Amino acid sequence: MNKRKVGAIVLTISVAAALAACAPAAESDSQTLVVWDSGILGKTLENGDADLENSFIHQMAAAFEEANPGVTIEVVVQSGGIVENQAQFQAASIAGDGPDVRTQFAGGPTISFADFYTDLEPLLTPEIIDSMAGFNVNREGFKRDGRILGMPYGSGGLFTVFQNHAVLEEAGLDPANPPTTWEELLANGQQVVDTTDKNGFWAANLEGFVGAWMIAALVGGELGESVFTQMYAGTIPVDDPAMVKAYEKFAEWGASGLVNPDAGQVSNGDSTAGFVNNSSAYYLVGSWENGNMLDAFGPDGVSSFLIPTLEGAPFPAMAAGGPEIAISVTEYSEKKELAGEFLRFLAEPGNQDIYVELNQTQGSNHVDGDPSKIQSPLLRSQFEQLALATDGVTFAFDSVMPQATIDLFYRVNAGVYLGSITPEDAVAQLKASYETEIVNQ
Amino acid sequence: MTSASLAPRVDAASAAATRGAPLPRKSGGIRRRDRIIGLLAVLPAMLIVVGFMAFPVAFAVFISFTRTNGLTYDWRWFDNYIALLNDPIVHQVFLNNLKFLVSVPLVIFTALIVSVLLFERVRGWKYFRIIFFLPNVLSVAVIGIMFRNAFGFNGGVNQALGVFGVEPIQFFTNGTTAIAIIILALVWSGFGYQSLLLLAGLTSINPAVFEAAAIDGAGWWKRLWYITLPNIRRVLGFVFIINVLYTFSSLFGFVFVMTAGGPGFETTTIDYLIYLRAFSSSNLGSGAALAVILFVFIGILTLIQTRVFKLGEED
Repeated sequence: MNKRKVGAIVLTISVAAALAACAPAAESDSQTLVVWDSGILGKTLENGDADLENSFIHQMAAAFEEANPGVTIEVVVQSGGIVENQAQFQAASIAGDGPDVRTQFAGGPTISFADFYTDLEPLLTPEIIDSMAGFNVNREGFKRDGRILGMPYGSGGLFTVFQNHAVLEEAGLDPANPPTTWEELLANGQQVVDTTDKNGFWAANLEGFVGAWMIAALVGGELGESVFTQMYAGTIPVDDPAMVKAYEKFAEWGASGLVNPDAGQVSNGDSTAGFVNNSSAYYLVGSWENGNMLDAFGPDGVSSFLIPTLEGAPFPAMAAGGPEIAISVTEYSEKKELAGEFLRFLAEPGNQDIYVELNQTQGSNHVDGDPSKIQSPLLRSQFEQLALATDGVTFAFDSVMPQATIDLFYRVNAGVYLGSITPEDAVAQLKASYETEIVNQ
Repeated sequence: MTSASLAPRVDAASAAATRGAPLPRKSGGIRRRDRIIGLLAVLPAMLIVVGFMAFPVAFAVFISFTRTNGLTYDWRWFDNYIALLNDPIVHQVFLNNLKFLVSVPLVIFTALIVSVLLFERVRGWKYFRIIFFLPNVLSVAVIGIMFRNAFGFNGGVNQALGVFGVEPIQFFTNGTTAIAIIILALVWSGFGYQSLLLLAGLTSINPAVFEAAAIDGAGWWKRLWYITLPNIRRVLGFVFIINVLYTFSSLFGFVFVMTAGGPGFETTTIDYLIYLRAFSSSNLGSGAALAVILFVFIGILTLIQTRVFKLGEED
């Protein structure tokens, strides 16, 4: 056998091996459930490994495996931003290679993928559906009889302002008397800037999320708690003057000089690290940061209040936020029954209590949830404030609208804050996107 | 043997062929076998081209006429195209891409200077050749993060400016400065490879031409202008074309890492917008239509450039 023949044989074997390696894997074990978490229920360590001590979804996976011998739950915590995670899910789903179960934000981000999710009604018992609130925000088309596309988890998040007591006291302000209107809040921020070397506010608005929280609170105060669902339904126009007014206030805030000067280029991921270095008095974010705030400042160094509404708002006792987490089962999953079993397991009141205990960012969504599990002084205080929010809770624009409009919303928020997009133009763009996604279907 | 003496033989051979005389069996068999082997040899490549290029392109064209989320397809004829052509965001993004074209002369000029210096073997040219090529070894993500950190609010550039009493600049909150930083990253990462391409062109010039010019008293600039540049016209044209193509189709990585297309859409490029339209919307067709438009535009642009640089003509 000459060298050429030997070479040809080696090459042939190599090519065959390479092609074999490219072949799809054997059918996965029918008892393995793949769960994709958008970083909502799962936590990872710096090196990307699961943070088993603190990650709720990993703990639940382990508990479910123990209760069901032979079953494996493979948890994948997505590490990208909202847009990237959605894109990954859509691409994987089209390729038929997506997960069996997925967690994502409730409302619009769930409903936008209606074709990819299965109806949960046959998988969940009527008792489970009756024992938890917020199923309606995950019903297809927000219709009462629409398919249930996601199981709401947790009692919901709130958009809040955290206040750094040390900085406020340095400026001569009393943290025990938080501002009740947006204008008062700005005045306090001005006092901080005038009397200290600190910023009035800390914000990380590269992606435009801060604008989303602020717009929700301000527009909710002007038009009531159901404003954005009414916008979705077309009964309130997207370019309502209240939207323009809220954007004008947002633009003014961006240009006020009261916020950290690099707010426009700090990403959400780096946000908290900036606030905890004691450089700012107020931090506009949400209750999901409770744990980080307490870790950084301790219970006496930080407190929170709901993002206040504008002076003279018709609905001043308004909170913004609402159901935040949805757990869905994919339409193409071949293990829907097992997935349903896992969801029923997660829905047990004891397991929802574990979620509360671990995170301290929202209460249990079960009617039999144990209130004693709420140990965080911040979360307790937020519940007290919620009880006083008699005008209701505004379910935010980005919790309602189709995903494409939500993505545009974040983008125009960033532009309005920096002054590169006018409030009128921002609202016009949102209206056009809404019409493309909803009206013209 | 004269041509006249060949004529009868040729005639005889032609006559034999027209009489239907069979060709030698062995000879025909070899030809057929060669043809089969040839076809088999190109088959894998053809399968790859059809499977991974032609089919996806054809499928992209198909879905560009539909409204689809990847699962259901609703035929919409030219709706996606009409919507895109009337979309002010697409107009803005197209203008952004035109701004990025500034990088083309910059990278070519830098590459040209470097390649000429390397060609003339300045002191340490071997080391410079390696150093200049190093950015090509780095991934776009790494380069993007490097520049984002360097020009961040608390980055090295602002700290250096602070030494001279200059207030920190927010490079990424303004579309113009953000594009300038991305262009800087593009030039930094691209000039090494381009200079190697130009260097290859330079080395193909006959050294005797330079020697003759030197004897005639031509200085460095005259040699560069009248000998070097005309002789590497084709390579320059090629480098120009691939850089223009790159500007329209390969900025995604830089934009994704450095600005995510923001603020607003001020640094969004067409390739990035294709991604946004395709995957953050319920209509993949819109992204596909934009990709088709870009494909046609780049094709036309490349044809024009080929004409301008006369790449198809002999010297």
